[in-house]
Amino acid sequence: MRMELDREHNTAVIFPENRLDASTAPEFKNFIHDLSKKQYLKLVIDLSNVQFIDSSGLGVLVTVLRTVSQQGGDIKIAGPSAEVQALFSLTRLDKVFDIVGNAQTALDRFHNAV
Amino acid sequence: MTESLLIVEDDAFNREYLRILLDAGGFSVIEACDGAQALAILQTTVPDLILLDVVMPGLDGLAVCRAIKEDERLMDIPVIFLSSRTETQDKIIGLETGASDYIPKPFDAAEILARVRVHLKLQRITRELRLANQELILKQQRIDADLLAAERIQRSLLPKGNPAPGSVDVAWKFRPSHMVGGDIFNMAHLGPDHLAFYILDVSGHGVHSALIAVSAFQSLLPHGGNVLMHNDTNPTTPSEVLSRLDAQFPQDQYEQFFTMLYLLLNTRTGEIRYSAAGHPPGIVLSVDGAVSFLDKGGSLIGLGGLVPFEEGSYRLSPGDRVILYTDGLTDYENTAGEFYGLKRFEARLQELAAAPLPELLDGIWENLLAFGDGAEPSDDISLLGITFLGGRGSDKGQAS
Repeated sequence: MRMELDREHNTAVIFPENRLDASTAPEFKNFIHDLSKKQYLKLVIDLSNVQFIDSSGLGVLVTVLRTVSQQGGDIKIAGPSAEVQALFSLTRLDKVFDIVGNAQTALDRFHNAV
Repeated sequence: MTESLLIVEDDAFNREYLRILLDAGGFSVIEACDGAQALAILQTTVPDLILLDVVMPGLDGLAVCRAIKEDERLMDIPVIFLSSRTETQDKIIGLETGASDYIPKPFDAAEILARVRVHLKLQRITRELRLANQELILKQQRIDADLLAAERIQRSLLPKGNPAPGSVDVAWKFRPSHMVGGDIFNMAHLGPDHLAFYILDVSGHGVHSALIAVSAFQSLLPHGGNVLMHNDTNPTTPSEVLSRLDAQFPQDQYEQFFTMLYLLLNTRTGEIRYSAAGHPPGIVLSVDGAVSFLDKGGSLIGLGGLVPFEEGSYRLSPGDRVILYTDGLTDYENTAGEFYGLKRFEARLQELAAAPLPELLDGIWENLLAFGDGAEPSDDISLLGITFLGGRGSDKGQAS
């Protein structure tokens, strides 16, 4: 999975691709857990290349949000497609996650919040 | 463990040479001076490898090799041909009989030992692979059997019939995915005037999800469950039902959550109250084809009250249908990678609005299967239809 790390600010942008579903969710979860173990706790998940998320995919997003916030971190979602955005609304997870238009906006929010 | 080798060689000098060499190499050696004796020894002994001379009086090496490869007990033993003939044609014939290798005479001691060791090692690896493979197949069979059992249990929990004929008509469709999803739906009488309907979809697949679905089903039984009360004139409100389940099934403990729509129908007035926990909205379809969505609710069950469960209400007119479904239906993907989708679903519902309820669901189902064109669904598909009769007898569609 492609990612961009910034050690100075402990931020990481992760770029999952195509789908976040039962087949890819376990790998994604391990990936995020590894990052959080390395103290990357301000995570941006860039969904602009994700066309499909199912309930397993949503589940894994909630799980990693829980893990990361327990360690004092946060996850922001960037660039979801209209379909993915609709799923966040349906499940009210748009009230749980901070969702922004693109990864740079998400990073700016991390940097400006002290 | 010492590996045993059978040497088949008519030349006494060569036999002796090979025996000494292989003895020294740490192998246990059996000797045969011709093909007939070799086959006789193989009746009672199964060596780990056979060194076989091609040119021998009587039964030659090629014939012996064919006999070995036709015997199920012996066919996996690697055979290495020994011959002074080095023409390519001979090598091909030798290997076509099923031999593993070919060592030309005159012998080179180091080469013989090296080739014997390589083929024994290959043989060991093959055997281990085969064992591991058999074990995998057995494990897979066990997993498949577990999944089948989970699917049977899931099916056995589907509604048995109409809980309130005269007040409502009901019909449903269910197709489990081969992985077993976690769909469950049911209905129950609560007190004299109320019917409860719910549909839920546990995230993930397999036995784990099916078990959670069964457990939620249990909690929602009006007799003996701990969420609904049977003889209640004021039944538990939908948002309270979802909140109780949310507390009972914390996601961090169960590792899965579920989406759910719970709907309470007053059979006297047609009033419904409902709440959807991250679940696709229910659809109210009137006989003239008008569509409304039951889209009030909250987040997923298991998140620990992260977002409150809002309640919605709607007043059904006699003849109105409520259509509940899981996202396995709209997310059903055909072989071209297209999803069935809400638009197609809604359009089909409107086309079929005047049909009696069972035909309506049949029509949707046929359309869905035709769209899928044989694609295996990756998630359970559930579809539940309810007609509010309001004392009109049964649902015969617009014709009645």
